[in-house]
Amino acid sequence: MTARVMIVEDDVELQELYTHMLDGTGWEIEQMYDGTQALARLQETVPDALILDVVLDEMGGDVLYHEMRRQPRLADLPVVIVSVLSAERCHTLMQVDDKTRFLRKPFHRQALLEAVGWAMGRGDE
Amino acid sequence: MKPGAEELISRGMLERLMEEMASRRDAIVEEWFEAVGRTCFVPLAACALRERLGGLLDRFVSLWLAESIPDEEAQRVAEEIGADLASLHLVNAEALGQTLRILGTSLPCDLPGAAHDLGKLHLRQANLLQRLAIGYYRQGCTIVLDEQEQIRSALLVELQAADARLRAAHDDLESRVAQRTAELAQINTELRNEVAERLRVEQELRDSKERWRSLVENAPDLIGTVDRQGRIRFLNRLPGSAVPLESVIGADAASFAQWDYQEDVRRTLHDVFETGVRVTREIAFTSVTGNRVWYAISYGPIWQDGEVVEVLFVSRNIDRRKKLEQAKDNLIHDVSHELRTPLAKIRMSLELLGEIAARDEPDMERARRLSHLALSSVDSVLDTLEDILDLSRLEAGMWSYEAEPVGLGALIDLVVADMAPAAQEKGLVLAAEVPAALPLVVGDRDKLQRVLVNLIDNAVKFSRKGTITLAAGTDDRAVHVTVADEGEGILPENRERVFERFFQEKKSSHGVGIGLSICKAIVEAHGGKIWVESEGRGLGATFHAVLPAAPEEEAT
Repeated sequence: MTARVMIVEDDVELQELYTHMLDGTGWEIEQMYDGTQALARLQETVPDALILDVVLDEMGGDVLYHEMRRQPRLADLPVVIVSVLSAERCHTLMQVDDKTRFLRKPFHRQALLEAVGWAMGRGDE
Repeated sequence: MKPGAEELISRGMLERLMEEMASRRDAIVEEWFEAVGRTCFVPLAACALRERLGGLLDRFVSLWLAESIPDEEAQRVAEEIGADLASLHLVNAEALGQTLRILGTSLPCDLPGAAHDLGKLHLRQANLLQRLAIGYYRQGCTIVLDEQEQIRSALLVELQAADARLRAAHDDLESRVAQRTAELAQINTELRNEVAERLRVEQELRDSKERWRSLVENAPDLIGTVDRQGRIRFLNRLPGSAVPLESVIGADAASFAQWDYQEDVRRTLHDVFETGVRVTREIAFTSVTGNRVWYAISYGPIWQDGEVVEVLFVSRNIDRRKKLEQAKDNLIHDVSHELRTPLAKIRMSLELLGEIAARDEPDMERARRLSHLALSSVDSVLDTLEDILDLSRLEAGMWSYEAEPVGLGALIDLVVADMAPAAQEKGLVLAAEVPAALPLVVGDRDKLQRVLVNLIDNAVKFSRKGTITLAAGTDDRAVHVTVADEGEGILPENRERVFERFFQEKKSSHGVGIGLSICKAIVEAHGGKIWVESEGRGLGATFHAVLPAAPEEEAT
């Protein structure tokens, strides 16, 4: 079965760039543009990994993250946070758990592949 | 018993004597009353006695003239007359004494003596009358005329002497009253001068107090005093409040500061009371409407007898400066965030491009796409930098405007053609509705183009679907341009604020919040007006810009 990655990012160009970066991995990619839309989709299906931007319209990434962690089905979903904010600011904003990794924009393709790969691995555990 | 001729004579003489005595008595009593009355002090007791005395004398005379008179009765009436006369004089003397005490003058030494003497005289008179009465009835007409004359002369002499003494005492009293009156008049004048001086000083005090009050009340700053317990004792006014000023007096000064600054206020007040050293602090207050308002507060000691009794504070509203500082901080944060995102895109695009180039069979379509993405991000960085530079130039007053005839219709067509592809890429339609004939406006073509570009940029940013329509119309005096979108819309409370520098409705908004402030500055520099209408969140927004049309001769 194909592994699935959900990308939550409001910037169309960044969505495109991430898709380019993940090209060739064989992972199925689903693109979401805000927190509300993503949370609704997550109620229908849970991906293997989530790439999450922090500053979003409607529902921010931080709010979505906490909402997910409150729901048993999504509490263990591995998350890769991508943001222009510093890691420090993201941590004070979100208080992440050990099922979460952080990448600051811009990042290398390799870093994204490793982080999502790590997330997939955790999902397999 | 029938009286003879001698008897008749002596009886007639006696009657005359009686009359004379009565009239003398009345005159003396009258004078007394006048003296007492002039000092406004007529004792009722004296009046009553006088009445009674008149009655008794009348009765005695009528008894005397009657055919028969019992000895005992005559004696009793005579005694009563004597006693009453004596007490009348004593009462009068006492009344006079009281009057003099009231006037602040000591009793003339002669006056009580004279009164006493007069009393005694009346007693003697009464005794004589008694004796005459008894003698007459016992011995018939044996009263010798000489004796009567003698008695009469003696009585008159004594009466005159008493009268003279009384008059002297009275004159003395008058002069004392006159002297005292003069003294009082003198004191009165001095008092009047003193009162006038006091009134003048009071007026001066009122004037200076009024000057001070209007100075404090019209001061742009909040001025007040606080006591040792931290309570407000005085405040010149309460900004923007419907609450009466008095309700604040006695309230805890610190309680007006925002909760996280209350301790600061208390500590500062305590320090000023202890050290007497003036300090200035920046404090956030909660306004009546619940907003956070910044004040710079200068605390200074009010000394009294070497001790700080109250603290004077002068609070200046520094909200504008503080908010601008915050806006600048936000700007730095926003600019770095705003530049970091396109730079991240450039960085990541170039990395991917490098990887593609390294392949044996490069995916040229993907490479083209990535290079386009990188280039548009570079443009975005440049635009942001340009905006910031423009704003700083605008604020420094370094913008100059050309004044040439500009056809807005053509300008709209040009801009729409230029920007339509970018909108299309986002799934948006950019449409222009411009009438064939539109008056020209006088202005700076590049700057007006900038307004249109910024407005369309803004509409594209906040739309995900639908059409963005640029329309123009005229009433011959002005050209009215609208940019309508079907995007996110604007909350009613932000309709004015979107034109403020650095304002962003949401933190995730793109850009640094400068584009619309630049539009406003340009439109207003052309003598026009700009505003936005929106039904609310999700219902789109329409920006309106009205520019004055060029006069006829220039339009041709």
